[in-house]
Amino acid sequence: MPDTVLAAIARRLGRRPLTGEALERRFQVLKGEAEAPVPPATDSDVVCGFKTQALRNLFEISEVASLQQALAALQTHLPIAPSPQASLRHLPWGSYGHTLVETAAAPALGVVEASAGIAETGTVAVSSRETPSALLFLAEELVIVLRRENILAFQEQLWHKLRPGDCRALHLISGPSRTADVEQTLQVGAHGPRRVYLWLISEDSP
Amino acid sequence: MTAPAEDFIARSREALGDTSLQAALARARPGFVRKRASAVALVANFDALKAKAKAVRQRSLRDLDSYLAVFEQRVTAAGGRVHWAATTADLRRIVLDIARATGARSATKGKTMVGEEAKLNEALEEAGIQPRETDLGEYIIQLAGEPPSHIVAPALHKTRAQIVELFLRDHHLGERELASVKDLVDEARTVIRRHYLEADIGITGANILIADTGTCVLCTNEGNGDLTASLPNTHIVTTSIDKVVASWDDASALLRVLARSATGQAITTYTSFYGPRGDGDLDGPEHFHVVLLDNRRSQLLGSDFQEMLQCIKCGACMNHCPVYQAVGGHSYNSVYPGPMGAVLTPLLRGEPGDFALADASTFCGRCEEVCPVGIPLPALLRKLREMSARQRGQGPGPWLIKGFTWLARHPRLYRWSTSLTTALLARISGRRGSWRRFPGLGRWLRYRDLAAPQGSSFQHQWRKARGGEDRA
Repeated sequence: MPDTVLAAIARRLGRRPLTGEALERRFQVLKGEAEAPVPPATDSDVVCGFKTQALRNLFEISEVASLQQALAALQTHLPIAPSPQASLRHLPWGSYGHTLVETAAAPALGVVEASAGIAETGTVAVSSRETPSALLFLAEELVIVLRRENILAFQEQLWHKLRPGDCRALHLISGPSRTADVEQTLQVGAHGPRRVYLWLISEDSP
Repeated sequence: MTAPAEDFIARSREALGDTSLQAALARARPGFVRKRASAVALVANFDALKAKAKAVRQRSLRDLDSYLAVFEQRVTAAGGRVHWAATTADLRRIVLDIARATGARSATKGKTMVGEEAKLNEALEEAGIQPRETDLGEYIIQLAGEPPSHIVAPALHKTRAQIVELFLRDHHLGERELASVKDLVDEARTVIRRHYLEADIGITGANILIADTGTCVLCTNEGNGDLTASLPNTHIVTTSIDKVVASWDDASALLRVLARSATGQAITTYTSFYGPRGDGDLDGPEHFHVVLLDNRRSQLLGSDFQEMLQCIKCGACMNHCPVYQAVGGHSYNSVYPGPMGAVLTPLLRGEPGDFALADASTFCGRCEEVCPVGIPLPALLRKLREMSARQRGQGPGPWLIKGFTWLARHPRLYRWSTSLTTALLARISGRRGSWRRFPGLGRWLRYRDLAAPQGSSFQHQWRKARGGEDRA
């Protein structure tokens, strides 16, 4: 009797449960009845607002012209063997003296590219179609590459750009992992990355 | 056994005398309030965000049947499964069936209040499947063998010293010390990291369900929910029927008020949207199940208490409640404490003593003021008190009130009787300004004195001051 709960709900609401075509039609009507979105009030421009919020979330931001330039910086600032997501492996890591590490149980440094940034909360979006979720959460430290042109003002713009629900997981990430479960004291580095570097790339995508 | 009405009182009395608990509460109290206030101050239109969130929740409940049916259809179409649990026993059975079918030995768990409601951990243990909590707060109380005392910060009642003690008892620490909060968090990280990698199934809750795409939204700061949902081969979401909204836009409206109200963040560090794994996904569990618990929630639809289902479990009402702040979550003897728990517990569990929770309110109204989805908590508590009074039998109260209203409707008789009483009491009290004790008022006077009348009534003095001119 898998449907008894649903039937009980419909009965309480004075209706009969709908299925198939009738349900779909009803759902489309209901979606049309939604009020307009109400975004939070902001007064700064999109990129500026994004950076303010992202810093508040404890992202460590570097602004670089190109991905190559960022890689050079990686060698000096982060002398750790990186585990980049597949779409970033073609980059000339070797020329900067790095040996790549395939995603392991506990990668030291994950390098991933975000599909978008969201200014309202200083958040980046990463999907399981481009990046394995495990890499995002098991890495001790994480580099997230974000192209400036991909920064959006509000969440809703991302939903309309992405066709969300197409992937198993869409992660909105807002800084390094943290907890306040011991006496309400903020401690960074709970189960996920202890530090998250955000590379804002200004050149256009290749 | 104590009478049910006494239970909350007895537990609160114990809580007030518990010095560790009072120390933990004193630390938590100002933090939550301050953090929420500063997060709200950072957005100029928070009231508009609240109004929108409330509209979304009300719209979702109005057509809950359709949204849930669409949700199930979408999850199924994408290769997952939705299970319906009318009772907590059904939920336990469904989860155990899935776990047994996969041959699971251990399960990691993200925070799920519905799992707590159904006592899922006990059921898993009895079935020989080791449940391992991964949220630091839940992990701490699992070590302590205690239920959560707060829906967002489950170990809020524990001091650091008590947590250190638990870790020293249960972990093999050797020479290592746990001097700082960082040491504690690192220790838990190391132990729980192993649990993630070993687990056969991952069980999480959900903060929101999105009908349009059959998606479960999970909000955490630690990332524990995501490791639980992503590493094992089976992901089970245990949540309740009231969590569904129509669209991703609707989810955004709730996310904008959820973290701000709960922890004072604009958004939780990780806000993840999960569904079944498809061909294009690079990792994730092969099996995806969503178990939806009713447990009497459907009976609230169309009732006087429907608004309670708008709740998004942010915890702001308890963080701002003077009663919760004084006695902590365990005094409520329920998975859901504070004002929202005082309403939900009698409605969902309905044990005789649960109605007494509605008395755990000063009706100061702060819960309603901070509720991001506009639930009129004091009004709902008042309705519960009325129901409870009807159940209990009413005693002399209503007769006294009826007598008083009759008297008050007869001004002459009223004036005559009040002057007589005041004169009489003034005579008895002599020069004393107040009484410490008075017959029939024993408990009322335990923490206050009764002022003695000073010879004439207010109305009498008013008339005298205005020169005998009677305008009553």
